[in-house]
Amino acid sequence: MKKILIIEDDLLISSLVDFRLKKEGYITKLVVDGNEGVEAIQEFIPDLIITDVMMPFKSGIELIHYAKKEFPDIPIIVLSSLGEEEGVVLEAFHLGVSDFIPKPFNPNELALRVKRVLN
Amino acid sequence: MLKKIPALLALILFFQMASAQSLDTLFKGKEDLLVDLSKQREVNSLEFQFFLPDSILSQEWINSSDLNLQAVNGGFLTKTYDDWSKYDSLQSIFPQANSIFLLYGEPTNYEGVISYLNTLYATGDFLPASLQEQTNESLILAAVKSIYEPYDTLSTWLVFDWKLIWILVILSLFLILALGLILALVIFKARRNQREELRKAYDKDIIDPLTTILFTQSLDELKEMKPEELREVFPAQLFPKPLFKEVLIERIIGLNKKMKGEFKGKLKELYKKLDLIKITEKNLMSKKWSYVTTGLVQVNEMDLSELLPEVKKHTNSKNFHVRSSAGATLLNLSQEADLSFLKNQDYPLSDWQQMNYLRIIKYVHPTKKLMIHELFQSPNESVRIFAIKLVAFLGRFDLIEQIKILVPSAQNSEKIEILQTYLTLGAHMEAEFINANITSEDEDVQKMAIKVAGQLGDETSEKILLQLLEETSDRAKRLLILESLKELNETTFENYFDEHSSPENLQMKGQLLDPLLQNV
Repeated sequence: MKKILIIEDDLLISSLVDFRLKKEGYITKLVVDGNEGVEAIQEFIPDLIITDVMMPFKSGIELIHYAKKEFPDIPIIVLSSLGEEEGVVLEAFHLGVSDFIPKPFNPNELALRVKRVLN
Repeated sequence: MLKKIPALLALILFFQMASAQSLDTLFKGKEDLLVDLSKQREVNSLEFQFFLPDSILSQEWINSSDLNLQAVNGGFLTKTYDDWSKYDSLQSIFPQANSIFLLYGEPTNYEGVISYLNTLYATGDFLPASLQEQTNESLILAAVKSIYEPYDTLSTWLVFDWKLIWILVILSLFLILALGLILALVIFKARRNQREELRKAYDKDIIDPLTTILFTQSLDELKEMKPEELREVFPAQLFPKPLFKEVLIERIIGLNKKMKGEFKGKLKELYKKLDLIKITEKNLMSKKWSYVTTGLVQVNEMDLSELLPEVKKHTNSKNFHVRSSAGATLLNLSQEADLSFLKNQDYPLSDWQQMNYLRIIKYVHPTKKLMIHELFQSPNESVRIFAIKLVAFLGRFDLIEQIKILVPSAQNSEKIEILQTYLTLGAHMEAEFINANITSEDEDVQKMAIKVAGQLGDETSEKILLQLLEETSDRAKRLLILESLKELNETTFENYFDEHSSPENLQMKGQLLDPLLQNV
């Protein structure tokens, strides 16, 4: 069973994503900021990371930088409302993220993209 | 004047003598002094003793210890006495004895005593007995001798000192006020903290039921569900609480912003089924502008088009935020709503409002029927200007004929906007209006007309510009006219300099033709 780490400071959004992914049979773990995200990557060793960009303590971009350096094989999906900011999207892709889903988003679409990335 | 000086001097001398009364005049001799000292009994540091020659003393007196005699050359000295009342009795026992005055223990004579008493008299420490009955100065001496006791006791002083009472009252009020404020702050902070804690708790109570509903129920199923069934999903005891509903509204709106697809529909259905729409309606009907604005945001975010009639009531609100939000909501949500709600608006449209409305019109509903022409008849000048701007921004060439209706009564600010619109749309057929304004008395209108004439002018414009050039000495304006003339007709421009080749004109020509300077 695949493990997915969800890093999102909005509890309602992370719960929705969590609910939807569990429904697909994934094992999930939720954390609310960048620092917790880094710790969770080391302990949980996920098969996929879903992360927001704007977060307390450590931004999503910093977290991606860390994850790609320490665990380059873990794919990352960025889920952010900064979709219109070209710089952030380009930087995220430059760091090697697998997908970028802008908010507002459809959880069903997210589930499909997760499946595609993990396969 | 000189004759009066001796008389003045005599007068001054008289007064000086009168005021300089001393003990010399009070005591006529030693006898008088001794009588006075006897009455005084004691004078500070002034004592006496007697010298008794051998011849007048019997052996009995010599052996007596009462006088404490001390043998000296040719007789005996008595002990010293500071009680002058004993002087007479001793003198009567030994009439041949010689008295000796002692000042600070040292013998002195009558003059020495008088001088010493004079000093004491001057400082108020001695008053001759003869004067004590005639003067009030005895009171001063009595006061000097008596122990000080305050006239008022402390308690009486406090009661009758009104200034002190006022200060104490003000200080007390200040203290009470400060304590009250601190107390109010503590209560306010405690309540806010409690509210925040409750919000967090409600957040947790909302997340699970909301997530479950959104994923387990389809939109159609949600529509078929009864409100009671939906409410049962949430904790029953919390649902009646206003704060819980407030948090629920915030959560649904927050989620609605971040979700798309059928989830938006589900959230809207939930909003209505849970009767949260009634709270929004109540907000819209509130007399407090902050509540009304909150209600308008809720209508806008949740797409509650059934509340648009209520929204429309606020489009002419006296509160800027309310009428801005109401206008934006109306334009944003309603496919039917046009700009006619602005027509009778009493308040001026700010740049921010115009920009906001334009953004909605341009990006949300570009195909909407806006009824811009109705705004040209608005009594509000800022609304008419906004309508003219919209013609330019939206490229509504078809409305130029409508603008022409405005022209006869147009204010200067409208004329500038009309000219700008003609320039943007390239309305060459409006040269007549442009030419009429080249000679406008208003500086800004004239400058805009000159500028526009360069692009849209005709032969008449050329003539008016050349005539204006002859009449104007202002260099900046001349430069603007020449620039327009150059744009309008290069040959006329060149011809002008052939006929008017003054150094200043040639310098302006050089500037207009120089690729680096022509935009300066």
